[in-house]
This record gives sequence, C-alpha cells and structure tokens, in this order.
Amino acid sequence: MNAILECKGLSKSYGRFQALDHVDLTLEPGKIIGLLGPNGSGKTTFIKLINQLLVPDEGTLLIDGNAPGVESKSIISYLPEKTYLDENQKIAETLDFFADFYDDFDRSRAVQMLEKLNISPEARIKTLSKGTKEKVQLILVMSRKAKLYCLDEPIAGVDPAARDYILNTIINNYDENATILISTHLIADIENILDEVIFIQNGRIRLYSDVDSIRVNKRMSIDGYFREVFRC
Amino acid sequence: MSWVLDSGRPIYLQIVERLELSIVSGQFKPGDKVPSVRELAVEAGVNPNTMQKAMVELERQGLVHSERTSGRFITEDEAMITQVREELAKKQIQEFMERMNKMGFDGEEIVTLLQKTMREGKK
Amino acid sequence: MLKKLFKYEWKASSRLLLAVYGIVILFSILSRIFMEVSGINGSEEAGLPILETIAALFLMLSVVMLCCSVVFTWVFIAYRFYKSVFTEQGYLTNTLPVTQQQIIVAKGLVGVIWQIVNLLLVMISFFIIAATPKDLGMIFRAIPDLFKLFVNPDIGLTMWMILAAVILSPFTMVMEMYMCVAIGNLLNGHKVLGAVGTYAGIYAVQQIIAIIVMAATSMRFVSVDYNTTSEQAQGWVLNFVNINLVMGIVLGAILLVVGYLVTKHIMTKKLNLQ
Repeated sequence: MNAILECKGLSKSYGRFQALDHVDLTLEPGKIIGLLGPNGSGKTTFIKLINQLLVPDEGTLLIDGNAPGVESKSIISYLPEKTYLDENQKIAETLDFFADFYDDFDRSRAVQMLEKLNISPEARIKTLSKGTKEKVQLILVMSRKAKLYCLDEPIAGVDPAARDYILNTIINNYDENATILISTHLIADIENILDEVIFIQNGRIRLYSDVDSIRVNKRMSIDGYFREVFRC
Repeated sequence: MSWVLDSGRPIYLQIVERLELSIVSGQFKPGDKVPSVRELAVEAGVNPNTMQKAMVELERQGLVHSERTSGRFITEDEAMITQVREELAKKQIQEFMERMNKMGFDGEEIVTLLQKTMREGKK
Repeated sequence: MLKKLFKYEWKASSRLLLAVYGIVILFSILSRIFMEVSGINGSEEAGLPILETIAALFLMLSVVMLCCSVVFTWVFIAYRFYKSVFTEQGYLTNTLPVTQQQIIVAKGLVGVIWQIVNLLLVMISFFIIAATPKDLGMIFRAIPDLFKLFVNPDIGLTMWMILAAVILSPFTMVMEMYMCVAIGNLLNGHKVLGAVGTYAGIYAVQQIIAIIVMAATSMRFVSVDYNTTSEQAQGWVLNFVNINLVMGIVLGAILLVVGYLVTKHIMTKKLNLQ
C-alpha cells in the first residue's frame, strides 16, 4: 500500500519558537489515527502544514504521493478549530458551494444528517448557535469521500452529548480505505475509536504505535500511558 | 456510547467476549443475521476497523460465518455454541476458584459455601 | 474552478452592493421628482418654498450617497478579500482545491467589475438627477466627434493613452488594495490597521512621484513669454499631458504586477491565519 502521508525532516518555526522539529512520519491508509499531545506541542502546526496553510521551513511532505497543492487539497477533508463558513450564506448555499468545489462531496448524505438535527437548509449560518455551526461543519467535512480527513480538536469544549454525536458521525461516515487524523488532548474520550496514536511533544514525535500494542505491552489505557509519558 | 469498554485492554478482544456472551446467552439466535460492522461499531462507539477485527476473530472461532453477499450470520451449529458456552462458564469458574483459593478455601468448602449461598438467595 | 470561484464571489458581494446602489438610485429619483415638483430647476412657475428645501436636501443627500457608494465599493472590495482569505473563512478559502492565482484572479475580476458598475452608477445617477432630453441629444450627437478625436493626428495618441489609463485604473486599484490587505495579514494583530497604513504609505509615494514628474515636465512652461506662439504652447501642453499619462500608465502597470506578485507570494508562503 502507498502511504497516504509521508514526511521527512519536516520543520517549522515561528520566529525563535520551533513548532515542529524534524518530523519523520509515514501513515498508511485505512486507519483512524490520534494525534495526541499537550497544548502547544505542534499538533495544529502539523495539520496546517498538511493543508498548505503553512509552508515548511525544511523537509518534505507528501500527501498520497503529492506535495501540498491543488491535488492534495482535493483529497483532504479538513475540519479546523475555527468556524470557517460564510456567515451570510444559507445552509443550502453552503451545500452548493461544497458540491461545486469538491467532486467527492455527497450532498444527499449531508442533507440527511442535517435533517436528523432538524437544521433547515434555508437557515442562514449566522443564525445558528456556535455548537450547531460546529456540527454543520463536521457534517460537511464528513460528507466528503476524502482519502484523508484532518480533524483538529473536534471535541474540544463540547458537552458529552455533542461529543457522542461527533464521534458517532465520524464512525458512521468513515470509509475503511480512508485515513482519519484526529488531533486532540482529550484522549480518554476518543481512544476507543483509534487504531493508532502519535504522541507529539515540543514539535517532536515521541511515539507512533498501534493502540493495542500499548494496551497489551503496557497494560494501560492510552490515556494512562499518555499521562505517564507526558508526566510533568 | 452504550458499551462499557475497558480502555486498558485491547478493545477488539472485549468486543469478541461481549459478542460471545450475546451468542451463548441466546440474545443472538443460531442462524440470525449479525448487524453490519458499521452498525455495531456505532452502537459500541468504536472504530469500524476494530469491529471488523473482532468479527474476523469470531469467524476464526466459527461462531460467525459470512455469506459472500448477504452478510454475516451466527452459526447454526448449536453443539458449538453449547461448547463455547461451557468454555466461558469454565473460565469464570476457574477464575472464581483461584480467588477463593487465595482466600484459603479448598474445594469442599467452596461447594458447601456455594450451596449455602444459593439456598439463602432463594429465600 | 475559476468560474466557480467567480460565481460565489459575485454572489457573496452582490447582495450588499446592489442594495447600496439601489438606495443611491432611489435617492436620485426622489431628488429629481422633488426638483420637478418644486420647480427648482428653472421651470416657469415657482413652487412652494418647502418643496424647494426638500428638493435641495434630497439633492445634497444624493450627492453624498453617491460619494459614499464610491468609497464603500473600494472598501468593500478590500474587505471581501480580507474576510474570505485572511480571517477564519480563510481556513476554507485557502484549502479549496484551487490555486492561489485562481483565487486572486476570480476575486479581483469581481472587484474590477464592481468598480465599473459603480462608475456606471455615478453616470446614471447624474442623468437621473439632472439630464433633460436636450442634454441627452447633445451627448449622443457628440459621441461621433469623440471617436474622431482618437484618429486626430494631434491628440489621437493622448486619447488612446487616456483610454488605456481608464481601463487600467480599476485593475491597479483592486490589486493595490489586495496587496495592502495581504501585507496587513503579516501582522499578528491590527491586520486591518496594517492594511490601511500600507495603503496610506503607497498613496504617499505615488503622490510624491506624481509631483516630481509633474514638476520636472512643467519646467518648460517657465520659459513661456511673448515670443511663444500658440502652436508652440499647445505642443508643450500636449507634451506635458502625454508624459504624465505615460508615467501614470507605467506606474499603474508596475503597481498592478507588483501587487499581484506580492499578494500571491504572501498567500502562498506567508499565510498567517489565527
């Protein structure tokens, strides 16, 4: 199998602050992978590099064999921490927008999920609550049949019901050939849906492993092991 | 998430155990169609890959078999189900015995205590 | 993809701008109506003084609104670019499967078109407020004469250059604003202030260059005296105008290209989304 993501010596700094420090990583397709690390460890920087919102200082990054660009953007479905929708659009217009720009967008699937939440396609984005906006964004992102999903802190700051909804939506729409990269610092909430984990600290990869080897070898949950590795 | 899983052990093993229990307890009847991997994954709150792995394990054991197009079914081999049922019971009993032994009960005492407890339970 | 980007940019900008332009037209029409009714524009019988006051008020408001619409169009074009590329919306805009070039071109073209629409609005408003059938007839009769000027051996070149400058200016204007917005994005706070500051800086430099060029090219007028023939004087003036036009066009073209390159470079390499 070809790697969905491959980076060598990937580095990025902001002024003096080294956000990513020579990261080497190869991710195989078909996995749900947790990108786990404390705040400021480089998770978001890594995801922004993958999405070409940042350009690396050094090193190479290939997504499905291509450097970040139009090709890679058409196969990555990205959920940032921010609400990035045009507030003046109606939901239906946003759906048109996604359908127009992303060939892999499954509009009927999105409509179905919106119906389940009783969100009218005629509603303007700005009339929605913050929580609903986040759900709409997740629906849009997960309604694409992308090869790589990058979900940046999808469950940070949400209540338990919303968290369950988010995790269910991810599981429900996950295609076995795709890769999902989920960054989070809330490990206990998410570890049951992960195949593999990447521990990241101070811009370096501390560990890349499948979850069951950690559970078998360390006799610990991922959350427990994380706490041990990152003990202050 | 409706399934209580212990994050400290491989999830797929716990799912296997749980599905074994559903089968031997009759919750799934012989020949029943097993829900799809995705449905089960959502119900359990786990990754479809993990559920798939558990299914493969159950298939390997023979408790579940897959038909090319129509999905997975619980085995109709009732003898096998009975056998698994006994094995599970045996495992429980062994663990129980071990713990009792640690507390210093021997076989005879355990049986007596068991009978006493059951009698009390009935009242 | 360029078409799609263009379509959504057009949609996103048209709602507000068309509303603003609609209001301007409405005020122009009201001014005209009140002027007709009050007889302020010189019809035989004088109207009521109150009507005249209202007419004058509407006329003033119309002109103010018209000026505002021009400024608003500029600001809105810059704001759209800022909002969709450099704020949270940028997380979507910059991860669409399109090139940065396509984003700049699509949005820029929409900006240029709005500038043109705005120019038409100004003209239409003036007609609504002031034009009589007689004026219109005169204008239409003058059009062939205007075209003749382009083939006139004396000022043909000047006319063509004026045309080029007029066509170039909205493009330069848009790209200059885009560049300022992109430079403002480099700051970690006060991005809008940064953009405005950059614009002010560029404007100041432009003015300084213009003054220097004008001063340099007008030196010859100092030597005008009684011996200067009117032909000579006319030639000098034309020469002065031509040189300044050339400078304007060249500077505009440079600003257009530099603006585009800087904007693209910043969007590609120095995106600073928070």
